[in-house]
Amino acid sequence: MNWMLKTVFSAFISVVLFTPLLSGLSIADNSMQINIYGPGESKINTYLAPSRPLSDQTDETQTPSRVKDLHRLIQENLAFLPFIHFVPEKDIIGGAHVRGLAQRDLDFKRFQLSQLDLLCTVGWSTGSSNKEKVELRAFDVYTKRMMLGRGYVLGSSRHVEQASQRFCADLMQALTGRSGFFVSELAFVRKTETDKDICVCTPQGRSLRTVVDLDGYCLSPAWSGDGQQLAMSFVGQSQHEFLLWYEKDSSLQRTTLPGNTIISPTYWPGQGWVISADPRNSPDIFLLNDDLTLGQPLVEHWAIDISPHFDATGKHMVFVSSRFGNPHIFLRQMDNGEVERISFEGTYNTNPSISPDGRFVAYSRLIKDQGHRIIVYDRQKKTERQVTFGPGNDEDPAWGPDSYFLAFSSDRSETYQLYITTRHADTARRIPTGQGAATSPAWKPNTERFSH
Amino acid sequence: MSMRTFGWMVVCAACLAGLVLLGPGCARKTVGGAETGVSGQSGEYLTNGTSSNDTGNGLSQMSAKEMQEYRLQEQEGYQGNKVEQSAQEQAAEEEVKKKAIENLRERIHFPFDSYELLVEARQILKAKAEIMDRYPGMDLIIEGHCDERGTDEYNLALGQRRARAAYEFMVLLGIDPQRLSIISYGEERPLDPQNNEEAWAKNRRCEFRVVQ
Repeated sequence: MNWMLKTVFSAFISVVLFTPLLSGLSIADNSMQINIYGPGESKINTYLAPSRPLSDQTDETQTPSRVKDLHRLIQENLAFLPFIHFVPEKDIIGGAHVRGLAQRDLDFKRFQLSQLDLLCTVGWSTGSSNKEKVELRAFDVYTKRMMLGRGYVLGSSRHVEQASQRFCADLMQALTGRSGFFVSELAFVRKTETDKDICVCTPQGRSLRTVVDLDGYCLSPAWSGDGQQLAMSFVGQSQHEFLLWYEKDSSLQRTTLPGNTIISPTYWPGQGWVISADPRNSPDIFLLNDDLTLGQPLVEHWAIDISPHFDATGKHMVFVSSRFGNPHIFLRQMDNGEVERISFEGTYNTNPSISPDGRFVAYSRLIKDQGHRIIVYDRQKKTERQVTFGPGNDEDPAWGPDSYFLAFSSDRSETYQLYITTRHADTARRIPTGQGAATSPAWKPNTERFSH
Repeated sequence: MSMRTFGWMVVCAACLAGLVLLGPGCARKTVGGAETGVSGQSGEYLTNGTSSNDTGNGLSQMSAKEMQEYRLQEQEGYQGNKVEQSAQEQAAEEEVKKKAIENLRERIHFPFDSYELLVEARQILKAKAEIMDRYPGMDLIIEGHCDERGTDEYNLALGQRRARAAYEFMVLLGIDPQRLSIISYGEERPLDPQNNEEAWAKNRRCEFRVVQ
């Protein structure tokens, strides 16, 4: 049985799922590029044509359910990209359907007249052993050139999800040069009736699963640099603990530390885990040794020092300190220990997250008569900008691996839920995470790129 | 001495003799008239004819066995009273202890984003320290709590500082630090889940768990 499974799986992986199959399909040079780090006002008018059979002999009304699901997931995924604007079917001159799937079969003129920039087609055929073969293409309507072509075999709903994620990742890569949004995963805290658990899902809310469920409050999840470990603080009945969850075998390591409080673990690239603990009566920031004992202090002060977070190089650490009476955001240069104050306005600034490229610091500010809002500080320009506008409270900002997307939690719909925006303050979209309040999103670093 | 004088002397002697003879009889009647009583002299027990040794003239006498039983009963009664009294004292002590535990559990509250002990909080903590002096077997777990505003992480830290402030004040008052421990729950365990100033004020607190 194992042998059979392995064979099927290997065949799936090697032959179909990630192969650039489609003879003649290759990523062509394309003129359509969008700079996601620009002002953020460009929109790509996009149309995802209804799926149709690869062969004209097949009845197109018999579209398999997995192909329909794939079509829907691609549409939902791409809707998360703020620069994608879907053109409704009714606005397509000459009707919604396409006559064919390949470049030579498409009538680009009517799509140009419909002011489309990007056209995606989905073709399918049914093979033996209850699997469908699908071909996905994306065309630059203006130049009539194919930007992307991918083929997949769908044997299960999991395959459908994977195919949609991978096609969207590649399309985003082709359009922007970045793909992290569809490759990464998010860990977050989910509130149940009695406690708080740690869950993981894609940034689009798929593959949702609970990974740590204990009798107490699991808080502040943070991924290791290789994405193989997930750290969190745990508030039990009588003590705090530092927890490490290993993705490889789903095992959990529990550790206590000197003092009474364990807050806000984070990973220092190239060094190890960092945590806020209070062995000397006040929460300070410490590096943990390899054996998870308390190591050297990174920030020591009589005030509260918590919520450390590092950029991808590990050269900069942002943190919260109440050394001036109220919580404010500070940045420490790790090479020389120099500390720079980042937030000056307001009296309650917390939850800093520095972008992986080190340029932006997002944090949550309590604004009088409004609630918490997310602020982004540009270290290059030394300016700041409000990127969320409620209603309710917007907290826990977390940069995506591309330094473009920002996940955060908000109670704008009464219960706290996760939302996605960008550093350009694009309209926030809710991430579907199921029942229960969801807070404290943490992006898994990009550690793999798909090979095709 | 004349005959007349001698005659008076005889009369007086006769009267004295009569008195001497009448005396004991009168004394017995007096004692026998009592309802209950134990003779301290002879062990005779005088009752209203309840004794099996009724002499028929209102004087009853207990046998040695009966006397021993009676004494045992009386001793048990005395000890019973003593136990009852002790139980009452114990109950009263329990009540005081219960009240002491209630007082030890009394919450203290804080202003927004503050771990400063207010005057009222100091008085409550002082009272707790006195109680802990009186009951050396009672230890305290001090829990720091916050309102829901602000972030989980900062509230965990703030809860720790609140619990620490109470802890340090009690240590200053002479309580052995070994008898105190602290934990912060941040905003995880609100007393009042509502989203208004009244609820937030209730939730910014220290709770005290008594460990015996």
